[in-house]
Amino acid sequence: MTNDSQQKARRSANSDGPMLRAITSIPALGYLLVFMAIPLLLIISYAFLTAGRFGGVKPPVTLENITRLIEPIYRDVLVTSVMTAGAATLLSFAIGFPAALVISRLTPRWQTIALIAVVLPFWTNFLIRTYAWIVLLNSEGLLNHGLALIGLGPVQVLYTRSAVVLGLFYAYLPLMVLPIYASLQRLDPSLLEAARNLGAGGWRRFRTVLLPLTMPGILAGALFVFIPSLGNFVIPELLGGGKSQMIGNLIRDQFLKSRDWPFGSALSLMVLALLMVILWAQARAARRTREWAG
Amino acid sequence: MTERQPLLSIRNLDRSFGDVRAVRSVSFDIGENEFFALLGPSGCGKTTLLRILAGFEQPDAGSVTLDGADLLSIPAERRPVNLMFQSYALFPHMSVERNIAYGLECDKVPKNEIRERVSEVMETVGLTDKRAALPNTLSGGQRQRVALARAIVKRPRLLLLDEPLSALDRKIRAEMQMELRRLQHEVGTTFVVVTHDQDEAMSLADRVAVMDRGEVRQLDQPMELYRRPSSIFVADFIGTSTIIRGRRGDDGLWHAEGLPPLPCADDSENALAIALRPETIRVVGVDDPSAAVRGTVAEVFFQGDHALAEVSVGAQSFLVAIREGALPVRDTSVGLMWDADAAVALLHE
Repeated sequence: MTNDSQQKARRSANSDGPMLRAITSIPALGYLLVFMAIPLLLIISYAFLTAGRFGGVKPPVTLENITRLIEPIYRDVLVTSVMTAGAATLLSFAIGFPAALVISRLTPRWQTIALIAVVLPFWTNFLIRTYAWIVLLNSEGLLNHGLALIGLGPVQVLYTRSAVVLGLFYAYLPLMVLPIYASLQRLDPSLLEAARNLGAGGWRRFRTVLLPLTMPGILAGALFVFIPSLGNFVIPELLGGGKSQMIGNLIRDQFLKSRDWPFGSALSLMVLALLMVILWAQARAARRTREWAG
Repeated sequence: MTERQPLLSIRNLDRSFGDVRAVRSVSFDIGENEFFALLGPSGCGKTTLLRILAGFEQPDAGSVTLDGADLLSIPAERRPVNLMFQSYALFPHMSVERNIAYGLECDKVPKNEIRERVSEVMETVGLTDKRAALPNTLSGGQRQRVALARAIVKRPRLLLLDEPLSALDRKIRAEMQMELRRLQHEVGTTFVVVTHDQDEAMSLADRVAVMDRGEVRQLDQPMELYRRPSSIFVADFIGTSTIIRGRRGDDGLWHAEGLPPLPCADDSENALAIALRPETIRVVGVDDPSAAVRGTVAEVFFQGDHALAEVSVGAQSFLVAIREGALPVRDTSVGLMWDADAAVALLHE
């Protein structure tokens, strides 16, 4: 196509564009309005109201819910949650990166099979998968039987923070593997050969070429694991035995047990603020990697 | 070539991928400070050979020595061999300066020495003002200079260049071609160029190995390759030739089907065909008694400083270069003649 006709085509696309675009974006905008904007506004307004006796909210407007957030007990829950979700994220990276690397080096046929295997657990029910860990980890479970065979144990893993970390890691590992795999696919293999040719050993190639160039995938994977882990309340409850409370459990309890909707909302806003800081940092890092690609 | 021990010595090298024998019993030597080219069509095994020298592939059999020492047992990252990749393979997240310094950092060269050597080599390739630029902001020619600088800054014993000019515009190619030659004299390293482009190989290299289906078909200086191809493949692959299959008669003439006996002074035994370069053939009048064959002008291709005429004589077509005088007209009859010693006998397929 010539430059001129290209411009014409673009103009005509623009002229019938606005109408078409308006119509096609209604479902998406409607979705965002109903499932994001309205709930968000509700949460924000609840956070500044007083708790009703049996749930709900009532006047007067107050800042008390916000100031309660800095009380040590809640701060500790947040720190614990961040540490737990962070540990699950690190573990996912430690296992997920080598896994993605191995998958990316298989033949195309085996890559497909390996990727299906990675997402296969998602086809079974989340609760059943989590219950399975109880069976594996409990004092009569596979882990302790195995340890007993070699004269060790028993160890109490179930109902500890380690079990929560393990459960979160297991639940979200595919979300770490897939984006890393995608960035490895995009990586020009001759870059690693070039590094090797210039004298870089395995560790240096990993540190100076592989890691920085797959960072977008690693960051995306880390977010995909960290965000749902931070707010998760099912796994801490089932595998943590209620002993290791995370921020998700606390928020749920505020709404369903303590019937303190305003404070629950304030806690939610705190988590939201934290996640926005993390997303902002990730967006900055992503912008830098786009500069490399030009 | 001097009598000294060659820098690189390749003996009986073999490498197969499944049923495909990518490299088969290849043997040759490369001398110190030589500019050597591996030339061949894609799939001829030249890239596999290059990857074996760089250490990314291991041969199934054979030996490679560098300065008399076994090269194959040295891991790729410790070989005194650097490679300029066809795609350049510049690290996109590092500045020009850091790309070039990378190899020296790997060798744990002291910081101030790295700075000196990087500045020096950036000056050599004319990149001093691009020190802090990221590779994607550079032009193709500039990227190539970075790739070259990155490879030569380590002062390798052997510099491998994979299709060094193929990604460049025609104009920059000519420039870079001269630059590579200049650089080779300046840094005094042995260069091995791998290419499918005969112009690239012929103009750059001191010696060229022509490869086909995993084998070295002929190894010679560019001019010799052009003047005295030993096989039909080489005569066809390098430059343009008219190749006439047939056999040598007792009358000292070349007998080919559908053609009158042709002049050919080359009396090598068992020749399969003769080759005639276009510039050795002259167009004469159709009635000229000195004409060896008479035919019809099928096509005339104008090439700038000369024209190429395709003349059909029965089923055989002759390619003739015309440098002066009027161009022959299509569909007219002409006579063709050549000196008997211009015809080269080809002994192999």
